[in-house]
Amino acid sequence: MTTFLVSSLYMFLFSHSSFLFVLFLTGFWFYYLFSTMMYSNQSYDYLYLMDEVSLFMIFMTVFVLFISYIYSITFKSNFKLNLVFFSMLIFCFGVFTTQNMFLLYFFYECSLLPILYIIIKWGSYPERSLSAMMLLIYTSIFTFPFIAVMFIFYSLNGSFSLSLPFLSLMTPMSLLASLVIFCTFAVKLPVYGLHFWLPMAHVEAPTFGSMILAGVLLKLGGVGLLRTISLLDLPALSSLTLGYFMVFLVYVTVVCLFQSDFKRLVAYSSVSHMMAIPLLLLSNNLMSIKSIIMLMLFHGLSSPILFMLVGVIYSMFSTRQLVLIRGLLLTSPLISLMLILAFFFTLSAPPFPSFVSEVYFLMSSMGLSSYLVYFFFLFTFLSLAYNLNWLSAMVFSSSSPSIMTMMISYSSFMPMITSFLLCVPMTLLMY
Amino acid sequence: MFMMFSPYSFLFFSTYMLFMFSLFNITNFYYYWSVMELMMLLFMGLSYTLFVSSYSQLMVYFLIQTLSSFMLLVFYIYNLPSLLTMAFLMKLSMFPFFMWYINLIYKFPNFMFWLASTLHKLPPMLMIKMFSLELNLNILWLSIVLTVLFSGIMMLMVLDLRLLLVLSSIGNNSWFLLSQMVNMFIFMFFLVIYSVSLFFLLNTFKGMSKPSVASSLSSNPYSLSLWVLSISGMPPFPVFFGKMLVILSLLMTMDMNYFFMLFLLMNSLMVMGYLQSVMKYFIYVYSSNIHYMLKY
Repeated sequence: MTTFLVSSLYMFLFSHSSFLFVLFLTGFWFYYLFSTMMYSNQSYDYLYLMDEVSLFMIFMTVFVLFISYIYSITFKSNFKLNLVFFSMLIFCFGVFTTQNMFLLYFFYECSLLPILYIIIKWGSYPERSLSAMMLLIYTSIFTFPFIAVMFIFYSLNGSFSLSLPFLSLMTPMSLLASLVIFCTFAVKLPVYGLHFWLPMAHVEAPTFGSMILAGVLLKLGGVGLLRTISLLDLPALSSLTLGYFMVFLVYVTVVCLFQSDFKRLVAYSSVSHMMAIPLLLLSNNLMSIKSIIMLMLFHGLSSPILFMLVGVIYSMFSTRQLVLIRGLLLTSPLISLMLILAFFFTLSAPPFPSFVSEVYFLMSSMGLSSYLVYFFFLFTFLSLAYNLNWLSAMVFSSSSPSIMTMMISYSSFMPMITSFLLCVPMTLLMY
Repeated sequence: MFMMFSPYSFLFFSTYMLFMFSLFNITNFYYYWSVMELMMLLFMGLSYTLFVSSYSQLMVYFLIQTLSSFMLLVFYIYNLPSLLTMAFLMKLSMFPFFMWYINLIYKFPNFMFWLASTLHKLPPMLMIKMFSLELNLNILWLSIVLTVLFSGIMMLMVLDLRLLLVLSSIGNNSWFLLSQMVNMFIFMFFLVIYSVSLFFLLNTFKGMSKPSVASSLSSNPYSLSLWVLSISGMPPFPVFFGKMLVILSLLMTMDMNYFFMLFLLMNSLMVMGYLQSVMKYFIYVYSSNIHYMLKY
């Protein structure tokens, strides 16, 4: 593993080819898949973890980094871009495959740096410094309380290990400690009260930055919560926050209905998808944990596709306002095909396997509270409503007078259809 | 380099470093005290020859340092722990006695600033562990927590990057004291890492002026912000590991007490202060090489 890393680092540092990172990425993924750790039942003895969470998350990371790399090669700085992608891959790999709480926290905080660099260097509006500051401060404000809780955990259990044989021996920590752990990861997975950095960061980031942010970085919070679930005092947390999550799950979906900026709408839809995850965590069934993994995987696959579409449409129309982007069915049917497919994917509609995750959500959370069926119904219906809003506004409307709509080229079409095709085989394995 | 600026500065600095290295081997309290006094005088001579911009502040420095040194000596002889603690707080510019440090060090050149923040803290702190001085732990903990609180709050409202670094050195004083409570090795480790990071941070400043893109020394416009992030304790950078070591070792020897939790929470304020100030400098950075055809 070390020789592989060293030789690939050497290759990558001393050559300037554009697609070298893609080769490295595919080599990394195949190395991960075929390493012998996958074939043992007890995966806790090894350096990095290979359970179903990390398997699907690494696939998602590789996929998202691949398609966002394609959208980033228009920026001319090759070496820094490659370095940013490389470091992002390493840090996200670290979060997803570690079983050590300290390393989880270390890589979680380290993954801030590449996305900050992307937003500051390649973003396009002057407000990006404010959005980068918001992201940094929201994540860092829980740093030292989380360190305190982490060291309390160490002094209680004798090690930082979160691995499977020791989970049953861990007693849940006090309400304050579990709230601190929850809030640290709830900033990244945005839970409604701590999400204010997300729309700003998405609007100011470049397209590939938004794709990485929505595709991978939000899942770091989810995986962090999954790994530390045995430490959380779930009955006390649920008595404190269950009503909050139920109400704000629907509230965020309502907020999505009122958005006029397409990119901001997709950002808020990320928030609304991720708001289901704390509810599933509080249920703590097998079905709800499976649903969390599925939700994270499919959101990580569908959100970058949406951002990709936002980027292509922005390059065509020079605007992101829904009232101005009109009539794509007539003038660019390929884009409208992509939009309709993305619509079904992000809606968790039946042809796509994310439907299964929504069904599991409903079934597993009935045990938590029977009022959830009403909130779930409202959530699903309103998510249909806001998705249909942008679809009907952009695709099924009369055309706008702009001639730029005719100038879609196959170079924009090819990555999109490739990404859709790549989503399918892995998702079939989820069944 | 600053040391070679004049023969006097070279002489003063060499003698200063000689005394600094000899401090580790002195076993008699009175000899140690007199070497510490001599180092204080040499420091004043060094700052005089390197053109400190206000000479009256040197008098303030002299008065406070001699007062605290005499207090140290007298209270060591008469064995009064509380007052000995107060003498140390005065010498180290901790909670009730930190304003002189802010007014003084802000006007120093970069090299003296670095020296005063890092290496000049070594003699008093070494003294605590080497002679097993009895200090009143209640006052010490209170001062540590309140130092971090005040430095954190003041860092939130600062607009000047130099003042930010001054306040951060006061806040990191309390980290030094905490790291002392366990082990000399951890203190030296944290001191070395912090001083190296602060040195590279000060390298991005040109002279005494505040940093700006036009006068930045390296081709990378983000180097200043990266170094400030590193000092605040951000993970890939080494100061993070130093702080983790301090916290871990402190938790293993003394259990988690109330003051320590408060300290960690106040430290968040300091982190906020760093981040907020450095973000303002991002506005002045030009974004390079945007390919304007695809302007997302």
